[in-house]
Amino acid sequence: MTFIQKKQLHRRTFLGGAGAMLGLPLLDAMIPALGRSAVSGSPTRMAVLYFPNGVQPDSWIIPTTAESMSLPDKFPRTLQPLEMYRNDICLVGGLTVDGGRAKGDGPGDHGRAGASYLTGAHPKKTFGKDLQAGESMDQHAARALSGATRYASLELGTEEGIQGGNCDNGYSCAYSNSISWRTPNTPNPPEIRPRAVFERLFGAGEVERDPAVRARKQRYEASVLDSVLGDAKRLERALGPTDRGKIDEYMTAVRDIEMRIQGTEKQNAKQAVPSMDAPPDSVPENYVEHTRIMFDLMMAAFQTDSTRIVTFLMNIEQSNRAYREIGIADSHHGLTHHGGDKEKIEKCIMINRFQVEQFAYFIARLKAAKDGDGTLFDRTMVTYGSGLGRDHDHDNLPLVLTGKGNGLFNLGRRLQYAKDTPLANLHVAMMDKMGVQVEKFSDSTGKLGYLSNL
Amino acid sequence: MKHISAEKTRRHLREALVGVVAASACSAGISALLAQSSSVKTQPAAKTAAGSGTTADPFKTSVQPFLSGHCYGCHSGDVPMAGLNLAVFTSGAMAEKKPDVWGKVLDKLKAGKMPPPGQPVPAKAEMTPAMGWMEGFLASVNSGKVFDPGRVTARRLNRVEYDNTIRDLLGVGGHPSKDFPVDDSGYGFDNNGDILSVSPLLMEKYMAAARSISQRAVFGNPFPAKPGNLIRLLNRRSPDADDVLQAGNAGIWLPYSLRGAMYGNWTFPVDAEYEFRLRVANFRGDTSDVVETPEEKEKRAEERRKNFAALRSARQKGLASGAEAPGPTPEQLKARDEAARKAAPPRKLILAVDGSPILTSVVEGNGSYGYSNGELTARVKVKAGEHFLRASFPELADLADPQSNINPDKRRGLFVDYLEIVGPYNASTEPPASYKKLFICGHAPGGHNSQCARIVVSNLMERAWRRPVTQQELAAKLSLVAIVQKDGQSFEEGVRLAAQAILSSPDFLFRIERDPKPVLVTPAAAVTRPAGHYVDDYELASRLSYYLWATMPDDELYTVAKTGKLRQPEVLEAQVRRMLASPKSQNLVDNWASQWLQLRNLGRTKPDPKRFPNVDDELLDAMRRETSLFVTEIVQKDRSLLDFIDAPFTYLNGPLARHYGIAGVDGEEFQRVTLDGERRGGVLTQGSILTVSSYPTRTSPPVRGKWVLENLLGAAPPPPPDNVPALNDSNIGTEISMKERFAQHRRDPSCSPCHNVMDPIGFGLENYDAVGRWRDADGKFPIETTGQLPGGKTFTGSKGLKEILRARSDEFVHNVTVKMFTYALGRGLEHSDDPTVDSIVQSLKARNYKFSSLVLEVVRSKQFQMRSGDAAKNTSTEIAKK
Repeated sequence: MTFIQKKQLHRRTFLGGAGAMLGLPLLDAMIPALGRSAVSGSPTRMAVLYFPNGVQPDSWIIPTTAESMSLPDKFPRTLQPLEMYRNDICLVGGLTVDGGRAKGDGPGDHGRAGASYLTGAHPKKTFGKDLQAGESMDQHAARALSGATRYASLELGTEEGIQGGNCDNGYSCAYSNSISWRTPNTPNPPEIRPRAVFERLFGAGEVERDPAVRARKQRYEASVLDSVLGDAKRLERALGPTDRGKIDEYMTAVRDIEMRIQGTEKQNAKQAVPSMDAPPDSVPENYVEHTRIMFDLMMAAFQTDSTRIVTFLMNIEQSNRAYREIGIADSHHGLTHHGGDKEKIEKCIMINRFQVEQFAYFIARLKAAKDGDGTLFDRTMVTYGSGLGRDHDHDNLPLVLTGKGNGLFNLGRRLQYAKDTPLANLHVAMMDKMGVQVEKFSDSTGKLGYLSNL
Repeated sequence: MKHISAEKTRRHLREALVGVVAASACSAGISALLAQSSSVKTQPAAKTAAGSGTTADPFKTSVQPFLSGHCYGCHSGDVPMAGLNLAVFTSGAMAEKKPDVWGKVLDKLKAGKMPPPGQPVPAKAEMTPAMGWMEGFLASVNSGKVFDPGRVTARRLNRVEYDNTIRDLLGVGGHPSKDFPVDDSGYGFDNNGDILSVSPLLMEKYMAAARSISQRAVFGNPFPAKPGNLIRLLNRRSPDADDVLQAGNAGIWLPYSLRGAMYGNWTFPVDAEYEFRLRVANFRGDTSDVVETPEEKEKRAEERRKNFAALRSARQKGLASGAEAPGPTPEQLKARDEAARKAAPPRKLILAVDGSPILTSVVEGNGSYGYSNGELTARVKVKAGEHFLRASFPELADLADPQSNINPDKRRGLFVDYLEIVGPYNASTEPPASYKKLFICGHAPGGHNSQCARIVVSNLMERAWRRPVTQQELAAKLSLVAIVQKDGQSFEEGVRLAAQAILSSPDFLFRIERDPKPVLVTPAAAVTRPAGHYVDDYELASRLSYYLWATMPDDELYTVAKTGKLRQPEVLEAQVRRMLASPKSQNLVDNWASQWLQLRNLGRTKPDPKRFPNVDDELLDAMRRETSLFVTEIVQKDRSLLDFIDAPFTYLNGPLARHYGIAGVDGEEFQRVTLDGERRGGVLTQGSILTVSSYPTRTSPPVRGKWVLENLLGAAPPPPPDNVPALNDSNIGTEISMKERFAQHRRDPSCSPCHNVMDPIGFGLENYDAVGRWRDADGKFPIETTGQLPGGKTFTGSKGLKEILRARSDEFVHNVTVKMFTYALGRGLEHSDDPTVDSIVQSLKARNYKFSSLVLEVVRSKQFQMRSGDAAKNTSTEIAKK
């Protein structure tokens, strides 16, 4: 692999020279050097979905004896919700995150699993302030592509991170709270409140899609400003000099707002309007609702090209959530230490399968979402997996790919890689597709092969 | 000089003279206050210096030579320093035109700020006559010849006043001002008209708040259509984590409680049922996380690794062969749980809303945080609005040592991990209470007729603007309703838009007082009547309600104002007494008293958690509450102002009583406690004051001394010079006593003038450590609290200090009066206010210093009831030039 030297014109550099010319369409020169030839019209997006606490062996892994790359007629129990999407997924086995292994640090597989999944790093065992993992793949790509979209990346989650020190045998909670790491020392924790995500993307306040209503509301705001300016002018005539000074201050401030509103009106004509309403200002307690609204937000972000990189932590690593939605009152993490208890194993499988059902919803939505002359499904690379395998270990990790990723993923089959093939090789391949070339990422040994072809 | 306020003049003279004697750059004011020199009082300086000489101009003989010798160097010429040219005053007649100038000059001289350090110090013989003239002249100005009631600048509502007013006006709560920038304060209070300003950012927040409040008032609070998880309250960033402990920033989100409690306010959006879900973290009876040496730790980790590997391989073999997997049997696990359960006592848990329990439970011991026990839940009906939630283990309030709830790994053994509020269920479909306050014309929603707009909008305007409105003003706001209705939108939406404009208007945001003649003051008129005018009854009602309640007038007060009888003495007094007795007068405690006593600074820098591990946020809150309840009793039970200095009672709960070492007070609830007066009594011995006047790591006698001088005696020493090095405090208590360290300090002549006064006062309080606990020794050195004040008076300990303060009750009461007057008027006091302050102080003595008499005297003063016109110099042409 060689480095591509073609210089990319940074959008911010451009704006710096162009002064106030905001809202211009992207110029060709600003699209990442290699990415452009690969994207054929619409940019490639990436979504990494993570679920915690690993899977139960028999319910997920397909026996490795078969040489065939075709999918089995009958899916293992956990994956059954995906059977109707068999042509839209690729089942991957054999990938490993070596950094998650103990390497003499003893127990703490959950903390290591979360922090190593996208970084490949072997996290430092500490619950103090000297956190040390690695830059994560999404953040590496986001940094390289920064400026192409309003937000370089988006981190979503469905479970509040645990604050405080030791979460897993001496590993800081920060390790299990985030899969995204801005730097080796700075976790990039996810936002779990749908409303906060929405407001960040599309601004606070109600979104008014109807231009007529929007115009009317702006007219009302303007008439309020007119009205209070009238009050201020009346007072100004009636007051002595020091009081008048205060009213002058008030009038200056009101005029300041007036000017800003006029500016916004001009921008509004071009502003991207999301395909959804602002979600309520509370965190849904139902897991189905919560994941669905996050998926919807993710797609709204992609469709408005607000960002191209999203990570979604579908509950933090070592999650203790109880899935009351499917009648399970026990803590998920507690159940995975089942000690062979059949009832507990059964509950684990139910939870894994329940989460896969939510993933299936996302596939359906992606396929239905228009994007240019195709669908978001055509443009997006999606991975669904966990940093823990079958028995709190880190090899042969459960992984499903979906979305065509502008041609990167060849779907409707399964791929079994050689033992201990680094997951980082997949990171390299995905970043490459985004137009971010790296020779080596963490413990990668190259770009993961066989993704597009046979 | 008919009505010279003798007391005041004497005091100033005393200060002036002692200041000359001290001839230092510092201590004029404070030494005078504490010196026991009665001879000074009889100095006839005033008469000789200020008496209007019949033959010569005393200004020319006494003042001009002094100014020319010590001031003209900087304060003359084309570009005088600070824009002050003193050389223009060539005669007494010219000088008397500018009383403000002489007030300022006198202040600077008295404070020792002028001449500046490095310049020759004026000789006593020069300074005494010059200052004497200024004293005499200012006294004559103040004597009533040219009475000036002062003029407060139009006051913007501060954040507290805004929230209170919105609540009383519309019933909309939830602290809409919480996103507003912090209000600046002037003269010690954040209700100062000159200081409070409107920035574009604040205006934007006002606009957004008015939009949101009008929306909520007309259509109710927004809430999810389907019940959802509304909030998750967490003890986030608690010192449970080592790193946070080091950073010293515990309890950012909710107060941190060593006793595992969780408490705070939350605003419920709608009358409905809500489900409370609470999880307890419970990790007691386990010491496996004890702090070990690195070797021990490594050894244990190695053992664990081996066991883990052995277990895993055995299990894999077992699974492969189809046999039972090895590991602890269910019986063994059960036994382990049982042992952990027994290892710790069961504790009662109570979750209460506004003090009423809605959930009680008993938590047994557990060795693994007990998360598998899941959540405790309760579903109850709650009214819309703000409520106080508290989940706690009441028995833990009486722990002899709260550290017994802390495990070796620094985490609490028992605490409320989180509290979630889920809802709303079966939400009320009634219009919100605010709807009824707004739509008063009695029609059902949607059925309003055309007359309603006028009735509804004029009612809201009158209440929001706190005065009747003109037809023109009303028409302007009604036109907004019309605009909306013309668009085919609802009548309610029209009223909402009008409400938004009414709440964004300067007439709402400012307390405007109108002058009959806004610009001109005619000095000639002052001969027969005061150079000012009475504010109208509506303005007086607002002055009263914002003073005593920090909110708009209620219906009764407004109605009285409407009758035009509010100024009648007996009507006014009845209203004041009614308002003081109302719970709303708590605002006087929370805003006036807490700013006066600097209590708002408590907890801004927290006591060092390493040195004072038992001082958690909850204890700091308890200290605040003690002082608040104490002051509330003085206000509502109309006690003596001298109770602030010393009183035989206070309010304590179990944890605070244990902190003080007072026996017999148990439980979480505060109770009134009678004191024997030995160690505790009065604000000076309350943890809040003792902590706020200390450093995070140790006490500071000068800081406490300064606190007493500044806040109790009104004689703040000047700030230290810029080049003062920090005190070396690293070895205090180990190698050197605090007293000896400061004695070294005071030998420095540039420090001694101030520290000779501040330090002894502070040392008198050394029996209380930096968080208000009693102590007899500091490190290995016994506490020595006997001190000598300049003038030779000695005293011992807090009792001795309080005796001195009581003996100087005149100065204390004078200072309280100044603080109260400043807060009530919303402006800094001027020289022209001195006679009024003095006469209030005099009249209080005759009324046993009753709190209500202070408030009544303030309310009866001309300053409170009147307003002077604006200075004529600042004419409209000048404004136009801007």
